[in-house]
Amino acid sequence: MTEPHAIVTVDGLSVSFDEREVTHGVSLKLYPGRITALVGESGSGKSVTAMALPRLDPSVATVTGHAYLDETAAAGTGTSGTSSGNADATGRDIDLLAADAPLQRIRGEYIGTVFQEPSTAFNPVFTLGMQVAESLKYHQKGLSAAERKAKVLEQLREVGLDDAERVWSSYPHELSGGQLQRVMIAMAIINRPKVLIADEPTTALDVTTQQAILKLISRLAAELDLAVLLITHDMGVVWQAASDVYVMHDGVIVEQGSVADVFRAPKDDYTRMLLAAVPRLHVESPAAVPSDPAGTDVEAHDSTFKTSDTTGSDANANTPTAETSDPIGTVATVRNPAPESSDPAGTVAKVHEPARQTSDPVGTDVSGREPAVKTSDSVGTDGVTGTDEERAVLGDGERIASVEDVAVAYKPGKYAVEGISFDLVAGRTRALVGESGAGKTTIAKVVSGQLAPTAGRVLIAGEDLARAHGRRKRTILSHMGYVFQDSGSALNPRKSVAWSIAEPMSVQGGFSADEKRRRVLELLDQVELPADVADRFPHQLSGGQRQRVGIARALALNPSLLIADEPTSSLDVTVQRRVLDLLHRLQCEHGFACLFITHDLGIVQEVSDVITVLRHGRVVESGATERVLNHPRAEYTRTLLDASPKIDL
Amino acid sequence: MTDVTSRANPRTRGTAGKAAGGAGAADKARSPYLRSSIIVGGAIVVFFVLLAVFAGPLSAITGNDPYAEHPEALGAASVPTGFGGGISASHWFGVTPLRGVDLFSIVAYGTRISLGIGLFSSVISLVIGVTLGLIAGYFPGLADALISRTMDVFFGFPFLIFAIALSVVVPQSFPRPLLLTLVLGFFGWPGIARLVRGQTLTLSKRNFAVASRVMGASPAHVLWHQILPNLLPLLIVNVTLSIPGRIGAEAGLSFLGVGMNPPTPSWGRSISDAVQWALVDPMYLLFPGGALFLLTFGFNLLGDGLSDAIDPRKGVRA
Repeated sequence: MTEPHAIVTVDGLSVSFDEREVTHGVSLKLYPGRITALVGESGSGKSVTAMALPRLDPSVATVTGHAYLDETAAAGTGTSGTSSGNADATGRDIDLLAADAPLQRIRGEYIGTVFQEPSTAFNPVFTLGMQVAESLKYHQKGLSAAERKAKVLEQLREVGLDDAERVWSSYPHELSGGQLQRVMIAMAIINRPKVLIADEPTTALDVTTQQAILKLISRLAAELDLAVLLITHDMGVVWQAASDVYVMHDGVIVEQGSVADVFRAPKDDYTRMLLAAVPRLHVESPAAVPSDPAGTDVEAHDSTFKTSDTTGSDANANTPTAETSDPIGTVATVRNPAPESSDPAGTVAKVHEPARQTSDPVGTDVSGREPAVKTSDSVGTDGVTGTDEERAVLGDGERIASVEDVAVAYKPGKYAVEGISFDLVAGRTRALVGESGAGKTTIAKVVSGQLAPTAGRVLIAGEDLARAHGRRKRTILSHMGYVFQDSGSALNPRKSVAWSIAEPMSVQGGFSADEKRRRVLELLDQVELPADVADRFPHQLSGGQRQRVGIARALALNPSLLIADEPTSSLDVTVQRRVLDLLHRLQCEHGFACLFITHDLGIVQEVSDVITVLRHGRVVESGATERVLNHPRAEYTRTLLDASPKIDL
Repeated sequence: MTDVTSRANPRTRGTAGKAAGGAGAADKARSPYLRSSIIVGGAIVVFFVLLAVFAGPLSAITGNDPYAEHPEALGAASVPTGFGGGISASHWFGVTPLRGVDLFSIVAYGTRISLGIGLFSSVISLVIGVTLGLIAGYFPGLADALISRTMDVFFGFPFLIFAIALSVVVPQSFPRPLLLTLVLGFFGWPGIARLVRGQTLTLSKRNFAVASRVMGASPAHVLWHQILPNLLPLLIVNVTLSIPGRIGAEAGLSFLGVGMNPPTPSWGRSISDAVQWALVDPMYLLFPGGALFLLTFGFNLLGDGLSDAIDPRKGVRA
């Protein structure tokens, strides 16, 4: 690719709050028609950096450095209503960070911005049409109301909202998150800016919607020659959409380059760690290879994908590739390369090292799951019903819980979930997968006894949970641990960590203060937290630490069943990696059954033995994880797989 | 430990620093209860408690009591003679117009009535209000409906007319301070109950309450351990703010003739008497009014400081 002229050149951008510098001399370049990703974990300074360009940084921040916008390119915005023709003619670069920068023109006219959470970024009391048209008022003066409306409708159609008239008169709550994000993109580009800053544009969206939005951004970048700065924490999104990537860590760009180069041969340790931490979805079936949205990048990525199969370098050790697999027994090979030969296990360990430091050696992981994997190996995938196949994977372990034809109706006749049946077996993990609104959490509530099923029943250790009350229910629930999505909210802010971890013991009764204290320290040790955490309060812990506390509490009574409701979705990938490793190690040690709710198929592949795919409250597919992921039978599973970001090197 | 956690959570440190301002840094090293608002507010409240307890000996220093009349201190038209309503070595706050009673004795003895009624009626309201509010908020359906409708009735009930009617019905031998405490306490709970119910509704849906239920915890456990601690700051502020209001209500009832019977000294009755003399003898209004203001101020400071101190996010550990 020929090196085009950069439209934005950021040079030595530093942002400081209260004399404390949070980003240190960041330099980056944006090119027309290309998507540049700025990737990093929370607190790395990526958003602060990006938001400094249109000067949307908080007013307490001090920004130093330069960010030049190539004015000759900017002058190309023919629709510019405000006449500053003289400045344009000189062709001199504008310093976006200069004190006298033309802010109003920069915002909207040169740089469009798309925010993370579309549902909160719009004003709920105005129609979307009004809100989109608003930016025309300031940047394209002299348009009549009718002209503005025509322009907005045209723009809405361009971003894929075909019923633009309806959107025009809709209020934000009347549209879905994906549609709102499209409206926001329309609003950002309606003045034909040269640069689009997208701050985590798909983080709040489901995978299928995410894919559609990323496709849209790619298309717009190509069609409008738009330089896109995509801020994200998700390596999958980077891979899916971007062509260049800057990796940011602690306010410093640690690595930069083309996506293919950085992903294939990361030079910096941090990038390596970040890449190793991403739970990667790997599916071998060619049917499941996605139609990659990133226009021109498709070829590049696809070709790397093909070549990597044969090279099998260190870098993809985390994604045990198809090299060791046979067409039928995919379950064993993809999940755990170790049983086949010790060599791949070595590579796994090596690559995992930075993230795994504190966890058990890989050996434990493998031995814990080997039997299941072996049995499934012997069963052919063809012509096997989901239940037989599941039975094969689950082995003859103890059935801890069985969900029998459960249905829940919040309103009479309107079922949120219907016809749900599955077993949870000791030492095995079942993943519950689906997009938002699929009924995952409803099922978790039913299994944990928060909600009585309208029909069907949940048996835990042979007892019907919905019929038990008082002491009996408490006894049944003592066999169950529940890990919440966001343990920060699941810990009482006014109680110490020790109190929270000991709470299950307080609820059950019969433990002395000494016993509780001893158990708390033991649990803290198990979840790899220092003992002094016991006397702290939740707000003094980081997100990952809180999640560990949540896990410790769930394990306080040595449960035989653990329900984990998106336990890592609010965490950074490196933290997520450690929490997943921890959960896995604990499962190996304690042998509990696990119901793991997630929307991330990469995690599913890593943690689960069997998978239940939900859509609109019904099971669309259920079976051994690797069979479902590699040879999905349901159309919907295939759609989900296609939409999930896959990093194939 | 403070240092370590601060570094681990810079966001908290930022907000805490901003909220506490310059004084925050010095406070951090000490107990969370050693903050200026608690010290000053507490000192004021303790001062009035001592004043109430030692009202007798203090008045006796100058040989006064709140019932003795000193016509010699009054001039023409029964207005106290001398500076500031007759302030002198024997009458520290001067004397009341018309009857010439020592004002210091009235304020000191009045503290007993006012503080007592304010405190105890608040406690009664608090106990009833919190109990019913928690029940209404945690058990939707019949319990909530019954309690909420009862609250509506209380809100719509003409309190003054009830109080006046009650004072006629209740025999004169029944101690008036006790009657006032009961009446004020009994009519004060719906406000607290409504507040508690609303908070309980939201808190019981928070994940930490859900987590307790998933463990099989009984409603009593959830209410006591998960919800009540989160209600505390709200309750403390509410109660400390309501005490002055109750002292004022006592004044209003006394003014209407259904509260304390003259000549029993009370701030409320003194203030309502003094209003009629405000132009002629402003000091008569100033001393009991000032005492009420100071006590209100002290309770507000104390309540504010306490609610900060018991919050681990704002306390010393943050």
